[in-house]
Amino acid sequence: MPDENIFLIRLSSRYLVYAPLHNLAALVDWAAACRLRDYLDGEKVALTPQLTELAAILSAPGDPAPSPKNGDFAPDFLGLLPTRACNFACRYCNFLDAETAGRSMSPALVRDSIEWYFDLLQRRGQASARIDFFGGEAFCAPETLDLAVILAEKRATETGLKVQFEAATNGAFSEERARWAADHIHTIVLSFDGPPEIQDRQRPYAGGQPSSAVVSRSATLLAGGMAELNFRSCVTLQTVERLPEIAEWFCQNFRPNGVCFEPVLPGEASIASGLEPPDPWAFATQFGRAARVLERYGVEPVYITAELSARRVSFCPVARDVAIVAPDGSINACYLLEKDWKLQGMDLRLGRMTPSGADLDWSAVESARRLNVTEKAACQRCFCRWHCAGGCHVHHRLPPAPGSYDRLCHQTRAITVRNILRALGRDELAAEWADSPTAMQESLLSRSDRLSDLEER
Amino acid sequence: MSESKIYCCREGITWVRDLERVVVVDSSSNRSWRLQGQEMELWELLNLGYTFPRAAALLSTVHSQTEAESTQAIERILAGWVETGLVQECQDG
Repeated sequence: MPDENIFLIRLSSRYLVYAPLHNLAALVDWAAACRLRDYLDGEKVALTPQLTELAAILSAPGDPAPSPKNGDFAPDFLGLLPTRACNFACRYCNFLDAETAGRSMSPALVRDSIEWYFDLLQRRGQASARIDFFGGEAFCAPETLDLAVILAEKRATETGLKVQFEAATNGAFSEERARWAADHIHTIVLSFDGPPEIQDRQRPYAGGQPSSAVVSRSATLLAGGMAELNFRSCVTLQTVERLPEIAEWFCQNFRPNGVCFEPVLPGEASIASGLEPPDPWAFATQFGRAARVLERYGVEPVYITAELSARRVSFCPVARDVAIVAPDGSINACYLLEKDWKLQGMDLRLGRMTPSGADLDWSAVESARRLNVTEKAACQRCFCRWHCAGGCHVHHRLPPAPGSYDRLCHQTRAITVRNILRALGRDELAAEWADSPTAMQESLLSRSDRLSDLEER
Repeated sequence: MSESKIYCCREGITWVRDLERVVVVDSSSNRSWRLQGQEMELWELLNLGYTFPRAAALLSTVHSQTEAESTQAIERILAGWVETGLVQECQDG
């Protein structure tokens, strides 16, 4: 039987063979797909020279499938949540929590977290450290940020480790702070929804004032520094048709390294504001068109669950032993609000930070490690499984049946096909694909993408 | 006391942040200085608008010092910068 990580996706009259663990993609016709399946199934079939080459690669073992963590606690990075407070009142934000918003990390908690993390890295013999800042809005607690960066740079110098910082921000800060961020933070994800009328409508300050001027200024200053700057633009039903125009505006006015478009997450605030997620096929189509604009300027279009370079069992910090330290000293696997996990019946608390280091609950660590794509039945036969890994464990819940895809799956699957065609150098075909929501739907509603399940289609 | 004084860069002073240091250049005299460790930290904090007490509080956590020890260290560093001509006392910010 063909390897279960060899997939086949129908694209109108052609078929896309995709084997992510063999680093292989190819376009074939129906007859070739059947012969390939039969050959890999052990039957004696005549193959053309091109198909022989393809079959030889696919007959050999692919790279090992990504596997969940096991053994000692080995964080991919340290997460710090300086504060849950935010100076914005984004109309779709479901992330603010009155109970926890006023609290910032104490200096002692920052110090304890960084000391513990560097000690752990040293014990493990690792050469580099990575610290990510989450929010609320991390820059609303500037002294916490400064302390964390200075302490980590000091420890890095003392230990000979390299340290990298990543921060997600709304960009509403002073010029001095923007220059500081451009010089100190290696990767910045700037939430920026587009031209002023979109940004100001969707992402005003907490007092209702427009934010586009200050965020534009920050975007310019951040792009001038050493930071890798990525924009994250939230897309709604109302803005989805404007994605190519938003992409053009970003490229003409700023120099981001990448632009990530994400559909709005439905929740109390977004529903109250009348901001709905776009139709998934319309989103995939407009993403494709916007991606062509970005690529023309040398800017990388990003849809995080459709990144071909990613091979993972979890697309977020969960299951990667990431320790995210919250202002109350709790260590969590996820930066979302505790009430959000609990609504889904999940407990992502890993332990507590103490002056003598992290006090981890080992059963909680193991439980978080089990939240990975190998445990997600819906993803078992999907060609995106090692890239998307099932998406957010909290907000993307699927029924436990292979192929039970939802809106987010449709988007990921459609954009992943586009990205594979681009990687094959078939730009015209990628554009044709992205322009045809009907073709996408016809191709991507199959419950299994495995080549071995060809008969079932 | 440094707390009651305001310092500013002398004219012609510019700086750039490197990986592990701040390089300060005086274009009027073609001199340059490399600030590292606590000097670099203080330079950056003051440029972000920190007052002396806030800078002292933060640096005391970084270097496991008392705030009084950090204040003394800041005063020593500032005196050195005045002497070498990086900064000068001024009337306002």
